[in-house]
Amino acid sequence: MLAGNNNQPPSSMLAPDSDGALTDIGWNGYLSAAQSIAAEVMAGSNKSNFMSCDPSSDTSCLTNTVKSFGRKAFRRPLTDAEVTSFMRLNSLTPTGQPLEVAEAILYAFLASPSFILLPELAQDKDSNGNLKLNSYEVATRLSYLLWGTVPDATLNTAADAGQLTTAAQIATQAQRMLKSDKAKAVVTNFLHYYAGIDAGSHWVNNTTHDTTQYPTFTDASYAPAIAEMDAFFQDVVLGGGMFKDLFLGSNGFVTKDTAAVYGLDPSSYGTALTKVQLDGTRRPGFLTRIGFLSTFSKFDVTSPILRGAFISGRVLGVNPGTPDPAFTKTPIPPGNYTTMRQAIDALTANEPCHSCHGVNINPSGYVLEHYNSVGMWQDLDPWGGTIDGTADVRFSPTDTKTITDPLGMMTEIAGLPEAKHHYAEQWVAFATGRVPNPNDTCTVDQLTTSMAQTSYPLVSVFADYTQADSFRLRTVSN
Amino acid sequence: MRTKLMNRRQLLRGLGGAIVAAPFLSSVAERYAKAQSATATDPRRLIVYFTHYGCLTDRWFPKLSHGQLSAADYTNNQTLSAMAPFASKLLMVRGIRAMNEWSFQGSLGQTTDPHTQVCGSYFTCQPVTPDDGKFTATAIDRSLDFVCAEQVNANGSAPLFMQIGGVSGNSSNTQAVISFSGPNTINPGYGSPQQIYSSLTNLFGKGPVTSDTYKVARGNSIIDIVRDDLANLKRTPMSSADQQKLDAWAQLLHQTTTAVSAQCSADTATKLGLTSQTVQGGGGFGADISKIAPIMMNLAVLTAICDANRVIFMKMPPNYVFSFLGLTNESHGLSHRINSANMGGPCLSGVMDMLHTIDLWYAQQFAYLVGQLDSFAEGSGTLLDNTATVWFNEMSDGDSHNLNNLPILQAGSCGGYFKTGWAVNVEGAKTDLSVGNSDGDCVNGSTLSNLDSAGTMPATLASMPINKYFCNLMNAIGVKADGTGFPKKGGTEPVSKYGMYDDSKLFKGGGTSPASITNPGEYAELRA
Repeated sequence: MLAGNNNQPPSSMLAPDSDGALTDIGWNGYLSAAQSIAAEVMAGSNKSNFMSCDPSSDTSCLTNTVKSFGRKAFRRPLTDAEVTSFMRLNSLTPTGQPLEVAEAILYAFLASPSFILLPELAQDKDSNGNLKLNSYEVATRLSYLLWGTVPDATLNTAADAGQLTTAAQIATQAQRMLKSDKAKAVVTNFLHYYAGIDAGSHWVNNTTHDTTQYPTFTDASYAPAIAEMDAFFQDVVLGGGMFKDLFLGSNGFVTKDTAAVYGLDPSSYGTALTKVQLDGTRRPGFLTRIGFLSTFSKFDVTSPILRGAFISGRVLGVNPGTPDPAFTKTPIPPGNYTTMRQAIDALTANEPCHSCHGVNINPSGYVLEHYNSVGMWQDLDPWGGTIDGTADVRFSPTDTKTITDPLGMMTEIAGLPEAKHHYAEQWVAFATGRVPNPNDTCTVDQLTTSMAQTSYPLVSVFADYTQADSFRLRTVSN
Repeated sequence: MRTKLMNRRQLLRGLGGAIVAAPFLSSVAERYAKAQSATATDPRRLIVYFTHYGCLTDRWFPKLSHGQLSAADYTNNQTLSAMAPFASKLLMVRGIRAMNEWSFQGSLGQTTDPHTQVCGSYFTCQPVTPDDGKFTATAIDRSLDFVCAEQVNANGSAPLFMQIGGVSGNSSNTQAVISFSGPNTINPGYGSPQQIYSSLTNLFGKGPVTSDTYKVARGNSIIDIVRDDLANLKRTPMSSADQQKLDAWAQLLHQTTTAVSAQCSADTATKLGLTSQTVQGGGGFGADISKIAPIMMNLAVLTAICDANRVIFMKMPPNYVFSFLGLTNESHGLSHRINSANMGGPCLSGVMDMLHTIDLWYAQQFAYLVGQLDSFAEGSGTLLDNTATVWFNEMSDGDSHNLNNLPILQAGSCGGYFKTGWAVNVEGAKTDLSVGNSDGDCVNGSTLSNLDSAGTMPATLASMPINKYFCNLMNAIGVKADGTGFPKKGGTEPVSKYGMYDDSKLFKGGGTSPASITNPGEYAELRA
């Protein structure tokens, strides 16, 4: 909106998130970021997004800018006292040139607590004694949740009119917002949260593979493979897909650097992602794509453990826990293995490994042994043996099935109530910014029930969540 | 239905996508520039450099454990030869034990985890809880950096903790966590050079700044606008936790009259290789530390020049693959000699050379930091001379996990407080203290069955408490104690006690023994 071209986001200048009070270092970071953004905006083409008048010739320009920009930055109209506070920048000694004053005003807004924080301080209560968010606060919640930025003009108009106090009014806005291109923000942000795509994860760290053994996967393949994940998620969620499509959808997104892994002709593709139809029996859903399969692998071999642990923890919601570091580097026992599966069986044959690995982790990883370290389909293990992708996968404590191929496993997951419940729970955790508490149970259950309907679009999870009481009400604790 | 409070986060997202490089503008906070050397007393600082998994001790320690050390003593030393040019400014602190050593039996501390409890207790000298929290235990009180910063930084602002190679450790993996802002509260510090850099550009001036420009005038007014906004927010009822956050913010606006050296400038930053371009990237865990380490170290130097922080801790990453040194195995598995975290087993071929390669690189980085600090004049000496810059190893030998005979190397006298050009053995001034037995491991192709013997035996040797050295460091930089001898803001006495225990054995059980400091006071023999 204001700043921006090809450089880094402002947050890269700021201190990392942490609990507790703002620190000296953190505050100086805010001041530096605010100062540099203000200077950049005033020197560039984005200036018109900040001020629409010329302070050199229009004597009311600065005041009008404080009011109009302040409305956006604080997500509410400024009080007269606040306008006066900002306008003191126009009466300093020595006097500033009008454009200097405008820059200082922008700088001050960007450093203001009411801009940096999302205050929710309205004091009206409902009949149960819960504090009611006002329309400005609801607009802010909606906008930062679904778009990751400040409210637009339509939301501001609704907020000014006090028309964001009922569930129906909020639903109307949420549905409108989710049709906007800006809703890509919530899809990417939430699915990254759901899948754990963040710094320090395997998604980000396991980026290279043995090019001698896997010539189709080069240094240029990693970035488009990860980009495919984002494109796939957006295609499913914003394209009207359902929960099952996350695991069964066959649309793919390839470039010349990833096409060959899927058995496509790389010369038919360029450097931009191209949407293609993949083989639905071999490539159902995001867990059968290069981005996942290659990062949840090792440099030169597959890792049924990493893949299986992901499915257990991230998809089924059964946290396998952190392994004891004393065992994470345990070498595979000596033996003449012809498949990775045999080696992992030997590695985890004894306690304390077997009770968890044998039941919750390894089986789903074995089913995915049909994909090699970079994600290509394989029927023969590089060690010479035939791939055995049949395993007894435990989908829940009362549901263990013999699975013979990836499509069979994805079909089970796509219909699994536990997987839907976990997805809903993760969404509520993401939306509230905290671990779900018992009060969220009802919201999570409602969303899970909705997702069980055969034609319920996945995007509706986002909109329906805004109908929860907790989206409009809050309590204060000490 | 009862609803809940939505946690109000400090939202770091700005107004859209991105910004271009920060131009250097004059100072905005309520600070004034001064001509260099205008102050009567130069700052005193503590800079800590921390590395994981110990070292090959018998290649690290100079042979002479007490007495004057010349450049030749370091040149002859296998690991620390890079330190030779600074011999006259070094203090080799010998005979020290860190607290809370792990063993199967718990004979020298807790049995939580060989790294979790050592890192957690290292700078706190407090036990970690929960006692069985192998990956989750955290120290029950704050660490030395926070204790010092509260007293020696302007407004008691937080210390600077730099995590080279990205932030490592969190509440579900505490094996490498050394900094705590409060009881059981992890301080993540800073993993990205850019975050630290952007906090410093705010201080840049171009020498003494005249106060007759609009840009200088606007600085104070912007602070006033922020102050008014905070006051306005505070008028609304809110939780006490939120009130405290606003109060803490308001407190930061009072940072008056911190003098900024004329050297604190964009020019100096550029000379140090620090620009808005060079500080980008590198924040992710697993980053190439051969590139990031010098940038972080120069940020520490710039922080010292700008006097933006007098307590700077920096740490190398755990579990690191030193691929730029030609190694392919991660550092923890190497420290166990067998390429895994297990204890005992066949040695990895060539592992001793690999460990030595890592040790050498660590030493070269420390030498670089020391050299950079020594290249900037301050008062009658250099930044280095006014600072205690100390390399602490997490443990002594990495396979033994022993904490006695701890490898500690200090550079700089901290304004003449410490003796330099010496090795000082605080355990009776003996000149032939053992250099440990790291090279005794892997002699026959397998690790020792009795791991202790790769360390320094017996465990009672070289076992003077590290608490007392921390007292030295605190006293040197101006930390004060109250009548009890423990550091206390507003106190007037020298610090003579630190931590919960100064006897490692008492850590067993995780704080069930009564608090006890049996050997108070600093080490007089380390004083100039």
